[in-house]
Amino acid sequence: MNTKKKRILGIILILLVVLVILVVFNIGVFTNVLTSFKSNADISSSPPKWIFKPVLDHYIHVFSKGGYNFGKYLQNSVIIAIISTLFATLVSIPAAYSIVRYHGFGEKILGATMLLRLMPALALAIPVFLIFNKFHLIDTRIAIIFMHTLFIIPTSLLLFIGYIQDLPVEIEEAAEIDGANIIQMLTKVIIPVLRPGIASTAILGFITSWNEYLFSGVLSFKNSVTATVGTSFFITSYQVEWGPMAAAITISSIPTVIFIFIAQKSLIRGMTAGSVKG
Amino acid sequence: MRRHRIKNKKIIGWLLLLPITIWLVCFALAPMLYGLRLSFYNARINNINNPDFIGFGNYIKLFQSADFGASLLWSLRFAVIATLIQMVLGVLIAQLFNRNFPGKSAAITLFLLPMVISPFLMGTMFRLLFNEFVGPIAYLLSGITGTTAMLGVAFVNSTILGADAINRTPFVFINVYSAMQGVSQELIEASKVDGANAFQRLMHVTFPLISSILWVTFLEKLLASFLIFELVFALSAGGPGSFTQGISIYIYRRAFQRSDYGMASAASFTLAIMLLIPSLYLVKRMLKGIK
Repeated sequence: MNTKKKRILGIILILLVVLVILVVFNIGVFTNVLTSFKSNADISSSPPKWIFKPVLDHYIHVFSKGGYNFGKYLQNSVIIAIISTLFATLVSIPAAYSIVRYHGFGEKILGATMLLRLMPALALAIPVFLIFNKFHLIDTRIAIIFMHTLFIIPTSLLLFIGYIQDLPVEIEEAAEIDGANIIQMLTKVIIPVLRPGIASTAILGFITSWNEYLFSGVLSFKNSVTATVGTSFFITSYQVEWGPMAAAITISSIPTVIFIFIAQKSLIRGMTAGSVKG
Repeated sequence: MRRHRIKNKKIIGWLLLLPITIWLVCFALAPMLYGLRLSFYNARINNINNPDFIGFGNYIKLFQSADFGASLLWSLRFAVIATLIQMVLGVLIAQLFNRNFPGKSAAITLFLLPMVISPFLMGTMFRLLFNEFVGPIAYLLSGITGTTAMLGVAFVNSTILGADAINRTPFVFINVYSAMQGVSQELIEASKVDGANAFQRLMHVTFPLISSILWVTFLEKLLASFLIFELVFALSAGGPGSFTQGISIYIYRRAFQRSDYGMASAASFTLAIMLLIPSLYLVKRMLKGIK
């Protein structure tokens, strides 16, 4: 009886500590969501109000403010994230297949993509800005897509290598005996069995693109602005519109937060790729 | 026949790598070489098509500049402190989660949530929450700090460390936690039978088995923290003044606010060269894990 009591007490203690940790780590996000539903008067009241009458004003303002086209920014974000992820997948799968089954030169490419991830992004941002400027690609979605694809490639490549390593060679050998060429091998054999892996890799790619700020910010000013970049437009030299900004941040965070709830396992696999087996 | 097949195989292996190679050359290698070239020129927005060659002029100016040195120092201090805080927190929380308790899966999801939010949005969020006049968190903390000026000189570094810890500790946690899950439960039980307490089990059983992952995570975190940009840019923009101007913010300001592309390129390549050896070492370690 005594040991049972002790165990229950232990679990309660652990739950309490976990609760404190979760509160500390999420209080920022939580308070920001609260702020987005406060009226301007409630936002500037001191001491801050924790109980108040929620209003939707800022959400309406975000979508209707003159010269601020949040709907378009969201649309840009979605298009850029989907196409970049698609490009990165199309480029990474054959490369990963070559690295696992053909060896040789591929390992140098893999090393290069990993090095790219560690190098200062600004060493790339400056020349890319100037080159794209020369080719009149600034403020186009394709410019951002080119760069986001590059940033999605390293993780995608690592994940696809892992998935392909796990495939039994026998199905490929069978296909080879049946006379399949390399294109058929990839499209008819490899890609169909990789489908779940492709889906989880794509989720990670989408988040990478959606969250990126430096290149999206440098390469756009009006037409190709993404949601993440657009939230900063509420800060001007005259004033900061706290309420709409909080609302814009909340909306921009929703897709990634949904993904952590529906695809936690694949996210973890992606986040730990490269270091877990090291 | 056989030789023909081997040759064929080589060509196919190479062709499969062609798209990724083109992408890397066009959007990484070529721009970087152009940037390297720029670093030897006095290149500004008005003469960008016809910049003046000045040899090592930018690099000499850079090493004489107190600003550049101060930025490097800020980044170095930030990287070391942020990494230590997050490694310790990440390991402790992973150890806490490395047991069964009700609601564990939901707790992990909630703990990972700050990690999937863009560092830029996280920074913007904290800029609001730590605002001197309207920030609710600044107000909550003023009981301890005695002021709501969390973005002033006295507290801005701590604010950045705190915001980054919230954003990035989950990354350390998930790496360490996944590794801990791989440690055999039998070993833990055996050491329990031998009378080892929780601390001894962590030090003498778990750590030696996951040391390689801890080391890789530590290095990766250290390099990433050294280059931190988005969160600081959104939170303090390097201010007040240039008080929190790390090396990435320094380069960004030089390039995109002062349009001094030559000098900014020189700074970014100095940085790349400084980081090259630890980065190559880390890549080698990671490659070893993949094979």
